[in-house]
Amino acid sequence: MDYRYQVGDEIKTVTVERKNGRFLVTVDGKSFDVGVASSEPNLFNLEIDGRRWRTVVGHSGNRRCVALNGDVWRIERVTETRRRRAGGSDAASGGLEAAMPGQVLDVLVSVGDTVSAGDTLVLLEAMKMELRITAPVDGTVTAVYCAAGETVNRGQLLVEVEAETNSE
Amino acid sequence: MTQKPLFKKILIANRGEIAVRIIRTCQEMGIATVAVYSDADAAALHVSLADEAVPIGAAPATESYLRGDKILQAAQQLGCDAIHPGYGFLSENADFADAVTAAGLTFIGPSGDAMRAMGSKTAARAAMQSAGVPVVPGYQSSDSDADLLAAAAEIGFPVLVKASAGGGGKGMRVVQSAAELPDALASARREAQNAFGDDRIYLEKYIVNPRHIEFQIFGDTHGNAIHLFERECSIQRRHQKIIEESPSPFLDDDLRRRMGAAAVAAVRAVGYVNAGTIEFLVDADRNFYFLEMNTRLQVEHPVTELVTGVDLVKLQLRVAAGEPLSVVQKSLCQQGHAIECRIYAEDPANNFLPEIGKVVRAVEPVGPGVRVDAGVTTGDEISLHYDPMIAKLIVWGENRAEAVRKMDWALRHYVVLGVTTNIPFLRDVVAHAAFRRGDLTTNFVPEHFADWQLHTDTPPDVALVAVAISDMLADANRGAAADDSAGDGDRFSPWASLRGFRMGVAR
Repeated sequence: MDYRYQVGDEIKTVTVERKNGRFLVTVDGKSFDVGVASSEPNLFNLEIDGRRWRTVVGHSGNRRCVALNGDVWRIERVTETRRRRAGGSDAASGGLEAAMPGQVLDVLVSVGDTVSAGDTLVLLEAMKMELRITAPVDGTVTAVYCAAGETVNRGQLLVEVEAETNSE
Repeated sequence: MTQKPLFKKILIANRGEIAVRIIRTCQEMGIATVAVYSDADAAALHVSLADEAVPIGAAPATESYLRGDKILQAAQQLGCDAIHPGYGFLSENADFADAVTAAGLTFIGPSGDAMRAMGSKTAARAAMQSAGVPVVPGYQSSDSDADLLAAAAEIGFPVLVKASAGGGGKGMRVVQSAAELPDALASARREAQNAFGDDRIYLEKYIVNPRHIEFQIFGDTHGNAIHLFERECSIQRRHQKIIEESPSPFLDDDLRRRMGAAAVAAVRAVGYVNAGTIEFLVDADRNFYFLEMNTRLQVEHPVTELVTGVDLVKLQLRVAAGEPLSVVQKSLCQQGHAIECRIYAEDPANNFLPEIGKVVRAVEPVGPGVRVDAGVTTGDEISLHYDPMIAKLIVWGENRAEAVRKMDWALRHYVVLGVTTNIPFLRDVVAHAAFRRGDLTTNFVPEHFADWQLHTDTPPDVALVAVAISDMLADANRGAAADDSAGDGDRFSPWASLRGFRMGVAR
């Protein structure tokens, strides 16, 4: 079974096979023969060549977090749908994300609206501060992922704008 | 053997870790507990631990945890004989304390009058001055810009503009020169008006690079007053403490004795009853100045508990019940060294802004000398309605070096997944040479960690191995569960069938 993960800018493929009650895992051509014990959900005790690794893995959508030796690593699982969406985007266009967690006060645009760079698209309130999410380019709103009153996380995609293509 | 409990049933007018901590002491003492909760907290830890729990309103604190009327009504309906306010929320609300007492219940804390006396920073300064406790040179006689300008020139720049009703750094401005003062006064008044509904301000000499050292005090209804030594709270971000310890590495026996005596004099001067804290600023020349008094149990009280061996909540209940203090000054000492780190859902690389979201998984460190006071655990939601503190991690060691090493160990073994936390930042602070030297001032974080970033190394292969194995198991489980599930891909629990799963490892 192949799994693909985004680590920084890189996509890594990890192959996992079950064999004789153990797991054979290949990362970047390096193979690991892994024994797995899990007495509690999400908590794994891995054994590789006699050495033990205590890890905790969290899942939230495609996001994975792994706690290992006191560090928490954030890794994104790459699935088919995600790759398609990423492939469809264009450098000048883009998704607009919430810069901090907060509450959506107002959504001022809908899908299909034409916007100019600097137009306010979404009003966000966080920590008693008002934040304006503005259009980075002239273009068209292709998706709206939030509604007034909703609570959003930092980094959550709110609106997508596709840049206007200028023929020269 | 069995003693009659001090109270039959106590309502805890709070949430999170402090509600949990108070409930535990009540349970130990055989006292029934009532939790209150907002709509956001129906599934919270403090609710599940209490004997009874009452909903008191919507998620915003103004509609729930700050509704003294509803809380008092609930306490009366359920036959409570006392209310513990915890810290924050209603804990320093004099009118609430009075209302509780007027209703014939015991308020576990000081009287409303004591809160009023100490709640106004200007009144508290005046009271301390007349008790002979040193205060930071300042000016509080007039609110006119002209008088304040003249006073600032006399005190000498830099000066600090502060809100009379203030706290948490709100309304506070450092002013370097006379030219900057008028603007700073105007904006501080605005901020104070918005935050506290009171735009009165005052001036203080700005002590450059001070240490924040506070004394835990206690008074009883029999006229006894004691202190339980100091807490060093200099490590702060956004004017809020994040690491506290006792003893302070800066105090020697002489300074400790003088500050303790001043703290006790302050308690006696106002006839203070129950737990409180006298906060001091200490400058590099070892001058100390009264900063303010907190008329409640502090967040950081566990470090005092670990070095003195006194359960401060238990002592609060005894004093509130009218018993004399069970400990006397000369029997108290600081044994070993305790350090507390506040674990927050926040991003230290992004101005320590709070993070919200679900704690997908929390694993707390367990070991000798490690205490975790947690209000949030696996599956709990950190919402934007409340303080984003996840837990307090407190360690005890025979000396400071041992406590520091233990804290490093405990931080490395505290796993919180799903929200960004300050754990990696705290690890770096604890590992810093200046922290190890005990070289702590309130400027520590901006001075040493202004541009802190999380390491961006690539994860070790073992991390990818673990993720891929967990995905394989989750996918297999999802396939098996597909028949009877609605297929909510984000919120499934892949681990139900993995309980007790154990393979391939020699035991």
